[in-house]
Amino acid sequence: MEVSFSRTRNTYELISTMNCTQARTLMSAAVDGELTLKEQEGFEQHIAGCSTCFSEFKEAQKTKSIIREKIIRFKAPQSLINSVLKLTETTF
Amino acid sequence: MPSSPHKKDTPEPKNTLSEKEKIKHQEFQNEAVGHINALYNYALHLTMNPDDAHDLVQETYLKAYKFFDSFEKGTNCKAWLFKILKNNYINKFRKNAREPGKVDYDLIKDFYHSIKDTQSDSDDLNAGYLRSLMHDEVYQALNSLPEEFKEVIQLCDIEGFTYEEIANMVESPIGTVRSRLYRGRKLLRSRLNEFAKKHGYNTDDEEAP
Ligand SMILES: [Zn+2]
Repeated sequence: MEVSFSRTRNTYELISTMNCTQARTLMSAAVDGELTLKEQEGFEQHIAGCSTCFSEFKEAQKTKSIIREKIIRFKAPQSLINSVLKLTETTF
Repeated sequence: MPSSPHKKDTPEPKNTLSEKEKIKHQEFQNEAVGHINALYNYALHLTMNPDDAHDLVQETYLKAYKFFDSFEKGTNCKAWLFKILKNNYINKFRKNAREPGKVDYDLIKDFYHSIKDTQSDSDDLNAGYLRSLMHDEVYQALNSLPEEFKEVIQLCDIEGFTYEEIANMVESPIGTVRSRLYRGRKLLRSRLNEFAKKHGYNTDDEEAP
């Protein structure tokens, strides 16, 4: 990490030095909305100036949405629901 | 034992106990049983088999009901159930792998046959869907990933758990969850691109040359 200058006066200075490795560490959390406000700012600044990380970010977003759209979800069979309801009725 | 003056008759504590049980039962039905579809899906992903998934979900609920007192109210019940299911799956899987001869398959078969006889329609339907899902390319791509990547993608993208919940479920730090998701999605993307290329599609992430 090359952010440990003692001269850093505010978070912006600290954040602006985010490199690709640091951005990649935050990539998934950026896709999932799991970044802190500070991290979010730094990440956005980085991808605004780095086309490699920007396209990687877009790809990760797309991959997530494909999974969400295309994976089929099943309903539990009624037989299972019935047996679970029965199970919790008879165990006491 | 010295008898306490306010406890004159025995049926009173018995009644409060059963009242407690009634409340517990009601709370359990309200909080836990509503997640049965999500649990069944997760079990299907883990076992790749409707019968095993059925079994796993049933055992999970039995355990969850027994230990429902230990569930912290106000926390995510779904996450709590998923963790129980996962642990159950691991225990079962390990046990079966170690002592395959000791599992009473006939008994299990009989049990499922008796359920299937009464619920043949919905069970057949499920098996059919599962077969078509197996051919689904996205599903195939997801399944082709190493387990540690597949798992976090399932929990995050399909089930919508937070990183904190996932970290707790897979018993790893949040940083590990982050990096597994990062690498898993990258790998998944390349698998999806392979499928797309087979169909003659240009993978859309590459801009014009
Ligand atoms: Zn970069």
